[in-house]
Amino acid sequence: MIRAHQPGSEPIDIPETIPNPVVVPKPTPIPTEPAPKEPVRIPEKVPKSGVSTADSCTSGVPWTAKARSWTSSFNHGETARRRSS
Amino acid sequence: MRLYLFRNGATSSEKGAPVSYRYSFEDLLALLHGHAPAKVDAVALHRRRVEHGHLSVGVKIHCLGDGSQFSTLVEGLGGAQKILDVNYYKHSHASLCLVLPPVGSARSAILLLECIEHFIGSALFSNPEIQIQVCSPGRLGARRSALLAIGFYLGSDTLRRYTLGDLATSFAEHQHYPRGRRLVLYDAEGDFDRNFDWWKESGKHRLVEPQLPFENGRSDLLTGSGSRLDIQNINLLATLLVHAQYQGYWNQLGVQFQEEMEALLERHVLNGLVDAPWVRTDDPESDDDDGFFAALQELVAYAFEESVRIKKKGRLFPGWHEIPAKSSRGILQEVQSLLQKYRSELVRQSRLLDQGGRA
Repeated sequence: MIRAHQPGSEPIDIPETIPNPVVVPKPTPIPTEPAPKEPVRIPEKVPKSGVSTADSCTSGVPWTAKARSWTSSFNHGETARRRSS
Repeated sequence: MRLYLFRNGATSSEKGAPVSYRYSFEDLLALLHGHAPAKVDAVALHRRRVEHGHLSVGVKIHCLGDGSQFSTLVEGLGGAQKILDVNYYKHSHASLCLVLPPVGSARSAILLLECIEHFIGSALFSNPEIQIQVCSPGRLGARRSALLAIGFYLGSDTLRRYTLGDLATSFAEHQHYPRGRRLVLYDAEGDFDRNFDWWKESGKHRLVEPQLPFENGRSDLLTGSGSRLDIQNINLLATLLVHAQYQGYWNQLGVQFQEEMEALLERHVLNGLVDAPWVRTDDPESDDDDGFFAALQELVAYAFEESVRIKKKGRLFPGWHEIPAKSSRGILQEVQSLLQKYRSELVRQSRLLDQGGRA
């Protein structure tokens, strides 16, 4: 800050630096190392037969031998009941 | 600690020839690695990588405080006697001047400074106690040095007021290399690392030479309290102006920039400023600190006045900045647009080259 004082008048403070009004300030990166990356999540191993481990106990049942899809997983219990009845 | 310990591709400087920083780049990175491993790895990987044919970048850090935050770093690199005292050059008010090894791009230079920030635990950017000097290879003539300084000043994110003493260095009155008190300073014919790519025009083609075309010579800029944007802007300005002067690949773009910059100054009746001695050359007439400082003060006054005008205008018309810019938008906005235009154009042409076309 530069202090300008002329006898007979109030001294004024003149800033040595001001922000350039036309420069859009970018957020200043915080000087820290970036946080460690999220650990890579390895998907659960899918058995070669296409049957998930959750189905392994029923793998001998013919209708469970197919690979599961979204719809089949939702209908699974219902379909099973209908077929067994 | 891994990839920068191998010595393949080491420069003559790194092979033991004397350098002004008297420590190896590898030692610096190894020291910084514990505090900023990811960034240090990035610097190590891209140290010599030149981006879009820009010039390489060197940085000197002048510390105006007592320099205690650098003591561990300095000791780790071999002690003050080895790495600081050998360097006679520094800002007159500085307790120390740390010379960093040059790197291939502004991006790497910024990263390297950030690594040092992590290590010393305090800010280097926009810190009033730290003065950043940005070094570009190649000595610019007087007129282009003026454009470098004016472009830096008006394009910076900070408008500064100076006293002549702010620009005094230990070489201001040097017997053999008097540099005066200026924003732009030539080197003192010390060590020079040429091993960075230089884009040269050969007929209609781009020729990438593995070395800079100058055996020696730099144009440095004392930014004062500098920012990341300052480093990027200076690198762009120096690239355009040096290529215009030394017929590099960006010669045409550089000449065009120079013409546009001079026309811009003329519109604001500031074209006379370019004739002032912005750099101390071998020409005895350039030994005129007061002549330079009068020109700088005129520029500073013009920029501060405009910043006041913009703020007033902003209050009266809250949405003024959304109005499409025209020629009357003021020198600060015009310089921002000019820098942005040439930054984009240089990258656009460079990408065209990569795609196999002629820029």
